Amino acid sequence: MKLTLAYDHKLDTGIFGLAAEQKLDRVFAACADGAIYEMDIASGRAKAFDTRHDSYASGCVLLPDGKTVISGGYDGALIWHDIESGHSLRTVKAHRFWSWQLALSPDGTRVASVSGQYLPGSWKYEPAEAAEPCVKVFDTRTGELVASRNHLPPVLSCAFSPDGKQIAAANMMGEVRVWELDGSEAPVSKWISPAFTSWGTVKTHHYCGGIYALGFSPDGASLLGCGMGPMTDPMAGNGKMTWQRWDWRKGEKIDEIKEGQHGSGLMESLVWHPDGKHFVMAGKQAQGTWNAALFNSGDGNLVASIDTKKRITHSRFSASGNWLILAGANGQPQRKNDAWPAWGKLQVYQLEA
Amino acid sequence: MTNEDLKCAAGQCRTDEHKVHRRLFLKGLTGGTVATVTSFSGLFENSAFAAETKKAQKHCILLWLCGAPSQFETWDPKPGRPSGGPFGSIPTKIPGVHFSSLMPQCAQIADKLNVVRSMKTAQSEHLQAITLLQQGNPARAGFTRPTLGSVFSNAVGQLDSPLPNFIFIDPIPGGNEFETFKAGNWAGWLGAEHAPVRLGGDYTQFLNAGSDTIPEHDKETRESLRRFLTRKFERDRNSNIARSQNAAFERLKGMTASADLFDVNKLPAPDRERYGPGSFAQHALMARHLVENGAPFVMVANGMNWDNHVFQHEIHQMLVPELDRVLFHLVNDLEERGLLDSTLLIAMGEFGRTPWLNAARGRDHYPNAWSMMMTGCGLKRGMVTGATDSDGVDVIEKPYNEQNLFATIFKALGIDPYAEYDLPGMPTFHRVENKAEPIRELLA
Amino acid sequence: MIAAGTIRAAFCADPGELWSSKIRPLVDVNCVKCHGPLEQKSGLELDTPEAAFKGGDDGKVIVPGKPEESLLFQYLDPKSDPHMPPKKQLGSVEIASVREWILSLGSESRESNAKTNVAGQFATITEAVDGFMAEGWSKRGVSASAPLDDRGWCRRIYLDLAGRIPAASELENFLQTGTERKREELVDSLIASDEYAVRMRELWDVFLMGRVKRENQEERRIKSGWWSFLEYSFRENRPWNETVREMLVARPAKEELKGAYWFLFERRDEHQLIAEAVSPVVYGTRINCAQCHDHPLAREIKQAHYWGLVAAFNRSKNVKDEGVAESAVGGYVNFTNLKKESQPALVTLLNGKTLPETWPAGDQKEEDTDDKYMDPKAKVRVPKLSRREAFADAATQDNPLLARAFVNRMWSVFMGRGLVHPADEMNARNVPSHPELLDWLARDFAKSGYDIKRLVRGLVLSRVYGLSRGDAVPESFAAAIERPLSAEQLARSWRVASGAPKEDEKLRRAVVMSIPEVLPKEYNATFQQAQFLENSPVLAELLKPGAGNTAERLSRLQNNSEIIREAFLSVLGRLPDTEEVSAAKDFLKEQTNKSAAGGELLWALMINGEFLTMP
Repeated sequence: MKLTLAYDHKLDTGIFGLAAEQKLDRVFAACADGAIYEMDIASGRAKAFDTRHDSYASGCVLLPDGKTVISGGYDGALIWHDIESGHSLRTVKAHRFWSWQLALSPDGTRVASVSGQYLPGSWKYEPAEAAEPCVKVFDTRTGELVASRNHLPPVLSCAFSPDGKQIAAANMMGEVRVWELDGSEAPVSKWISPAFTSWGTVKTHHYCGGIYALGFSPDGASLLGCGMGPMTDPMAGNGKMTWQRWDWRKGEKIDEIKEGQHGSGLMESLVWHPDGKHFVMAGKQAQGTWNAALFNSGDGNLVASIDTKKRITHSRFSASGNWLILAGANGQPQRKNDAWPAWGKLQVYQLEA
Repeated sequence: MTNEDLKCAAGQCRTDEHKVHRRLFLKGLTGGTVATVTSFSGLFENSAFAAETKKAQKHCILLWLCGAPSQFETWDPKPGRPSGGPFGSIPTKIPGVHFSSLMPQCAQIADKLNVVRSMKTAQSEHLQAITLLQQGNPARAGFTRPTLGSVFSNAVGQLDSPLPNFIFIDPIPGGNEFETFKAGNWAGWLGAEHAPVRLGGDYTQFLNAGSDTIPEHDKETRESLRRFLTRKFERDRNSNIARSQNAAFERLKGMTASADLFDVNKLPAPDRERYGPGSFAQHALMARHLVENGAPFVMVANGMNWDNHVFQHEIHQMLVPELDRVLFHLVNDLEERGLLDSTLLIAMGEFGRTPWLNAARGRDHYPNAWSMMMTGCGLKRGMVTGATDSDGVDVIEKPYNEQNLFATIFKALGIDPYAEYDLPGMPTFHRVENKAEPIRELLA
Repeated sequence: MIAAGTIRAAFCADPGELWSSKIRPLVDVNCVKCHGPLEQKSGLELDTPEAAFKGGDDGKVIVPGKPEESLLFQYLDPKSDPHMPPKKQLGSVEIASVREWILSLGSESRESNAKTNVAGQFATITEAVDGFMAEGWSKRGVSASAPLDDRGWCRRIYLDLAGRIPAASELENFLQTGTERKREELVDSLIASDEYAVRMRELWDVFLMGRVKRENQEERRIKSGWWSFLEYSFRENRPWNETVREMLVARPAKEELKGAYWFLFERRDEHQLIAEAVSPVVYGTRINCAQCHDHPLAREIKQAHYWGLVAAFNRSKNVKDEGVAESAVGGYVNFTNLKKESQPALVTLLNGKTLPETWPAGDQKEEDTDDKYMDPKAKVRVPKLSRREAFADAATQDNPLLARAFVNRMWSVFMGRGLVHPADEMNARNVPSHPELLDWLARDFAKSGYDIKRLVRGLVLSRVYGLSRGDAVPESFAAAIERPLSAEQLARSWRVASGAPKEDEKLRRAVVMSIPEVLPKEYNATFQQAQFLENSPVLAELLKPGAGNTAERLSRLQNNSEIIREAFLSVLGRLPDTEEVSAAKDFLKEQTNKSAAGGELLWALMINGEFLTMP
């Protein structure tokens, strides 16, 4: 399998979230300046929607009718944007703290947002319990809160199951919880994987890391999660690039990234290939030879990889699975002559067997 | 010691001559009973003398935010700018002044704090920068300048106090560059007796008097003999090892008498609740408690936890609120106890953090423009001095460096910043070199 | 009172001395960032005198002896344009130093010809050391302190070679011996003993692995055979380069060497930690800074060296309870510098040479096939082409830095300070105090086949080793430098002094936990150490009378004077002076528990500064 670069665009500001149409003419980028940009893939031209978040925009989802984008931000708000006019339709203050990530249900009627601030809960700086539920699900048509669930903050990632019945959310401590959306408040499954969290013994006594992206397999049986392996010195940022796949009903690990197939660095993005047999994990490379790689989900082996030499925050496949979008950011460059150089990145790769 | 220090204020005698007189004075005080020569714990049982000494004693609490906190997420927010980060700002009690939204409690008491937003220093690597901000002057090869705590101990510390003059609380053994600094020589040319006693976490462990078999009296006399022999060796051979040993034993004596003060579990429970559960907060409370009980200089650190090259906002979201809460309670508690006017409270790191976010979600080192907070003894209240540009990239008003900072600190404590050290056979050194100006707008 | 600092010579016209004491620190802070290893504005580098003399794009910046004609000096003037540093103004003291240095360069031609008057031909190590040292003292205009008397020298040599004080009988024996060569004979017999091997292991275990931080760490070092490997190597006087090679290759062939693998194994596949540990042994310098960027001040240490060293070991993997396997493929990593430029990490030596390798192209995966291994079925697989073996070969043969590093380290052990200080920072930052001596010793050590016992013998029989303590400037070695005893030396010496039975792991372990430093750069007695000395039950055990030990002997004596005399001789190996007798008598009179009094006297002597310090 080979990945070849087809489009390579810059954006003034870093991209933290992404939504894409099925046919990939354009994407919607949630950016560090709080705005959502509609970007034309071929030309790279970008136009922002009217309404910005008061802080980083962290994610966005495109509703199935192709007319509305819902964005989440570190201001804790969800904003509904009308694509045609660029105006906002609605703003909901979902959380007191950040919306770390959004997920859209497969039928497009529900949007989930996860939140939670890391605060000291103990001598050892385990996270304190949240004051409000960290997982919230809203009706995409009305903006109403339809469900909320508790999880230990900060909750970094969430995903809907392919049949839309379950929602999974994972936090900084590597704990995954899965709930029935129309069920009780208690999770139907939960487990902790220590492979994603650091508690520094070199410089510091606090936690960091966690599971930064989740994705149910298309057959709904397993759940993938990614992040960065534990480091004794979290400031080194050199934990192992890590993904794990779990049988979510049992809460057991089925597979994980193989030795010799990874470098080190934070992996922030996971996306399943439409064929259901492969997935991409992407992020930032601290050491190694790639920052985005395609894996065979059956045997867990790495099939193809590329090094875009940037930080990738989000990835998306086209419906056919022949195109892969990688969005992200460089390290923000220094200000030069009162101007801030562009640091956002959008690339599209063609995937060939 | 400097010539100025020879002047004697109540309870602050320095020279050997004065030591002798003081001893005799005390003998009279305690009714001429056999005084164990160097233990002055009896001193504090005389309430009049104790009150007098306590009043005159100056204190300092240094919250050493090692690794370096981001000024954007604390004292000098730049909301809406590319450098601003995600947290935004909030108005404070001082009209026109905003802090990061992560510091709501400090915003409430901003009129009791002072912030310098225009720190501009030359060292961007940890070890060199920690050394610079702890010593207050650039290093000179071959000579080890004493750190702030050691200077304090020498200049305003209490002679023979039951508590060490310089207490350093940091529960974390490691810390990379900070660990190297911790293993170094903090007291420099002032000598081992002004080195800090290190506590916190596992460092605070007291063996139960393992020698129950030895009667107290015999313990004292054997210690006297040990001390006699080691002092003789120190003198005859000019031995650093002996000097260091003697200082350590002196400290031990003082510490054993005050063991409870170093036990987090003995702090009042409501206070422990208020300050918060983390080790840094608990140790900050311990620092207040120590100061209340006469400790002159207490430095509190928690490893190098602020060095967020990776996950800046993910970790600062936890660290800053804790600092905010700690400062709020410390300032209010000290004020309530009538100690704020005699206690200098400083919160700072060794530099600031970059305006630009790196690819690992972090901010890197930035000595070019950063902020620090100090209030209390000898300072005004509610001043914000110095300014950076709209992005926080450069200082545009009143840049200050470590020498200006230390000149301010010494002036606030009533010590001459430019006094020359009395160091026979060594080059001339002053507390602050180059007659660097203090930050006058902060001085009361 | 005020600590006595080093007394600097008031007048100093030696340009080398001026550079290291005044100019280099000034230049490091104010100039090197733009004119140094990381960036060279106008093509000018100022981090070494040689680089400064070379000048930059606009020509030379220094005219030796003529500061007013030197651009380097001119640009410092406040009114100068261009002005250096661009945004700062150096103070008058600093500018005067620069002037002084440029002036001193004028007479350098005289100085540099007088490189060394001492003939390069010495028959023995001791002769060389004595010769170069004497020349150094004469050049500095200092005289060496008086030599230690036999009593002091004997105590010192036992501590250094056997790791303990001599028993009273051993000391007496030495004092009574009349032969001229008695010192050589004692040195030879100590070096031949098992105690020497243990002492060397104690030192090198800490130098190579760091002090144990947890209880079971020590057990594992013993169980794996690591301690035995070191002791065997020192006892049999295996050449140092072979011992190092054994540790790096970690495929010990003999039973006695089986612990060699522990050097890599204990580091649990953390290849960077391995590289950071290997560097001081093989190059004499730590290179941890170079992980993220070229060393900002020691220009020869680059990121490529750091990652090149990591690459030598990153195919290695621990096999539990068995050893350290190595893969035949993989370990192809890139590293990025601060400018985000990515480079492949080839196995690289400090001299810049890389080991030839063919990397797989692009996204081709290299196949890991059985035929690439010596024995594919082995539990600990050995590849036919082994990176770490290739590195180990290169590092231990024809690598002059290996000898240099070892010689400097052993010098620091015996003399209290390396010829390059700190001993594990032998790079462009740190100039040797006696460069020709260091060169001579290193060459000689390598030529001798890395013969450790020969080196040790040569060093401790020198005049400089046998000097008494004094207040000379440390780098002159004109007086012995104060050295604290290590935990093991203390534990053993306490047993000797108190007459306790031989083996006592509990005591040794307790002391090691409490006093972990070995030859620290700064001596810092913590109050927790004082606590240990004051309250430790294992120490207190030694002082209880019993089984014919010293405390018991003391308790049987009637006369206070006798008690005091015995105690001083047993513990400090000498008689007390009148002041000490008087103080000790006062002490004994005040003791309420008479039977314990002797033990308490011993305590005060065993804990006092003199006992804790090398004579």
